[in-house]
Amino acid sequence: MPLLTMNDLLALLIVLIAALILALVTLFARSSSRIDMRLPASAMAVDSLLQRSAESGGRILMNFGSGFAQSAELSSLVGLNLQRVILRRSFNADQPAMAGVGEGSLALLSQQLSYTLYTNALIPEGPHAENTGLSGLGPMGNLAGLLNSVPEAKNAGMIMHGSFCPEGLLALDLASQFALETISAASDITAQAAFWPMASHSALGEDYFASVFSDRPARSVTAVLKAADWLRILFCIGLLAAAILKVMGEF
Amino acid sequence: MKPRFNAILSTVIGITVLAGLFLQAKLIPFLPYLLDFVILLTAASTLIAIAFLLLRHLRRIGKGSSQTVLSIVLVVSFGLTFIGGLVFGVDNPDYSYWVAAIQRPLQASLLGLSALVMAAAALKLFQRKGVNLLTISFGLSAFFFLLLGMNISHLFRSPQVEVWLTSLSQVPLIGARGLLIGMGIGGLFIAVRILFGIERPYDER
Repeated sequence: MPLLTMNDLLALLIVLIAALILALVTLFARSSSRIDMRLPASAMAVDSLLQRSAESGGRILMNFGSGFAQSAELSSLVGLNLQRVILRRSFNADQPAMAGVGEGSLALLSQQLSYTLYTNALIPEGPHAENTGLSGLGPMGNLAGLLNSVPEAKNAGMIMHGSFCPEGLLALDLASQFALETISAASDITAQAAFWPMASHSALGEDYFASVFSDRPARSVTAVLKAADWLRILFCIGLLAAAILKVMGEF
Repeated sequence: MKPRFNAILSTVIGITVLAGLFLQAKLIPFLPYLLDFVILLTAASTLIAIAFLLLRHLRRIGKGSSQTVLSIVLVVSFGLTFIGGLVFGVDNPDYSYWVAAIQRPLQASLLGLSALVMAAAALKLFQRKGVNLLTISFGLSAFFFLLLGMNISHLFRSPQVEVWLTSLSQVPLIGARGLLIGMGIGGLFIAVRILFGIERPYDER
């Protein structure tokens, strides 16, 4: 058995190209003085939801899906960035934001993040142990926990970010019955398709990763978005070349 | 010092996992230990998270809030399942049957409910999202590919039409692959940023 197969080499090559593009774009972004890139729609929707919930004095209900329960995918970890953004901006809000997770280790990470943020912000009444943690074990348990939290009167909006099963649309449907603004960003494309008609704002494709950028320093954000654009162009050229070679019968 | 230590630790673990992925043949003797460690860590964190969940519901019962009944149902059903598992063992066929007999119908009914809600959402699509190019193309293509999925190509006697319709039914797959490539690129950049300590989702900074 060879040490590295062709697929492994290709994967390594893609990782190296991505790292190189990111480094180059970051370097170039530092010397640039003007930032004229718009954030993806989902990131802007998170921003406007935060503003509206602060005005209405309501709570933001977050759920980060079933975490690493189904597969050890990195995308579940990204939701913690969003939690950090939202908690920081709701320190002085009338109602503290609430975060639920459907898996043990991600729930503990979420609790630890909440605890550290409240402790560092020197907020006497926080951290609220009630507001972060496990909402149920597994995708269905998590959904059951979320369905219980949606009808609470203090909610102003709901954000579902992470690994969800398509049945999660039941929570979105319930939220729409209570006139809550909803933002969905599922890592699974079947769930993305199921959530799109139900949610007020829905992240499709790679917007899932961009929705956590709402209050990041603009240069770091634009560097990632521009690097992703460059890699996308390279992928398109690669796919086109492969298609031409296939048609020509080269492989 | 602590954030820097966290970043270094996550980078080292990330590179170890990547090495394990690419150099499986070389690392086979060590991989079971790593896997056992991860399973132990996950199990311990799940137990702690469950304890937090139970405490939260017990506190709710103590306060007598509006959802007390639901909290009582959760605590009692968890207690029964937990004690049953300890007494009979999780491999006991009667115990497994007992748990599955409650869980499966519940999941099936949630699935059925989802199908109904999805059908209702499809009907209310234009009301919710407005009439625009995206909703119209979504509605038309969903309807068209639903018909194609029902194997209508067999209704046409012409083999050329059948071949054409079969090729057309692959179009959603192309779209799905496009989305997956996008997700892959997004995930790749996040992974590279976490690996180099630029992005620290686990950190407060």
